[in-house]
Amino acid sequence: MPDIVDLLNAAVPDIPSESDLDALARRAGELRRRQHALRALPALAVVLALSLVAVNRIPGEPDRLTPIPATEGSLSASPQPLTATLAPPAGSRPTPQATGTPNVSTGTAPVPGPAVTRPASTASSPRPAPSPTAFPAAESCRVDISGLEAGQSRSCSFTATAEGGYNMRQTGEVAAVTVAGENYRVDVTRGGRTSTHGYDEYAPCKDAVVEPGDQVTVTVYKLKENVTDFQVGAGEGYNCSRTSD
Amino acid sequence: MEDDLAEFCRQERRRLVAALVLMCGSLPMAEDLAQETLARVCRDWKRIRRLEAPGAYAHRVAVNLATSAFRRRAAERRASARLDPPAHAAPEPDSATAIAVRDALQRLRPEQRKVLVLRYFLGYSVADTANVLTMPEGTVKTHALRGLSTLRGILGTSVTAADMEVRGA
Repeated sequence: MPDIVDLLNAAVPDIPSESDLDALARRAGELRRRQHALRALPALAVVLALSLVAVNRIPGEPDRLTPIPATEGSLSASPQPLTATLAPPAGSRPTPQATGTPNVSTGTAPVPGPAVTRPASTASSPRPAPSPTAFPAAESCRVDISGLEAGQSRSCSFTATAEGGYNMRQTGEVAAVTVAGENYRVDVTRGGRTSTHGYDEYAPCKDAVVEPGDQVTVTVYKLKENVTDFQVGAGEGYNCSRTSD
Repeated sequence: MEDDLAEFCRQERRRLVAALVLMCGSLPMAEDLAQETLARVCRDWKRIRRLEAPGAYAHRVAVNLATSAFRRRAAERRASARLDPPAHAAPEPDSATAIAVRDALQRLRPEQRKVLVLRYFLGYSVADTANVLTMPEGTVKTHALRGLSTLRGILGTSVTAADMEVRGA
């Protein structure tokens, strides 16, 4: 009886041995530049949010403490509801899937991550600093890139009420590659620390990354290479076994 | 390109292409996927070179890229079936056994195919296969058993594996 190892080895065709290292280095450079550009977007979002706060402040009124997004990598802040700063593109349709109503926002910048509140002011009429607010409670949420333009992103956020994972799935008919690892991210904040999945891990799915109480944000980015639609969901029911809606 | 990175690429390329041919069924696609895999390895080499098993990392990336390719090809087949009549593939200069086994592999479910390639071509343990494919070890064993059983049915002969045997009827 044939052994599976022998069968598989016999099935491999002749493979040209040469490897174009110059082409590899060029392609690696392209990927590196794209990665740096995507990682710089949260900092741009901070600058944009700060400029909006400055414009909105009215002289003589108490400071209005507007939640501002933290820079990427902040691990100590408590998560805040996301604020949508830009109008969604025409035709966009986020699809939150949850018992609650997750926050959904669309913009040209990626989700800035957990937000922080400024300390209470020391004006003559002191008032308590606002307490951090969590994302709405929900079992899961899901977003897709339908209707987005290249360079835009869409996100949804929730406070998990159940265990779960995440799952990326292409949904379109026309063929195109989803750039795994650069097209989406799932941020899970637990106990003040944030873990990011999907972005650099090239994994289209993972089981058991969400626990009840976690602050979860799912972000998808439309890249110019994406011709087909894809969706990413996280939370209960989203794992590597999921193959359909 | 650094010497250790160039050496890694030279050593791993053939194995990657071979594994991807078995997973995807197409040499040109396997070469493209292997090139894209190694480009990502090159991009992250400073971190990857410190891993205990850089080759395993490359295989994980390759499997994920192949997964995207499966979905893309399924969509292409659905789209072209509506538009064009099926075309006959050009005959490949391979043995009948090679063609038969590759054809049989393509009839397996993607998960079963990936498990068989990782377990029995790349020589991964059940635990390592489960880690690369992010699935429980029990699921790995189930996919292996069912994959071997399906191969038996397609190839018309019993197929053995060192850790399990699927008998003919």
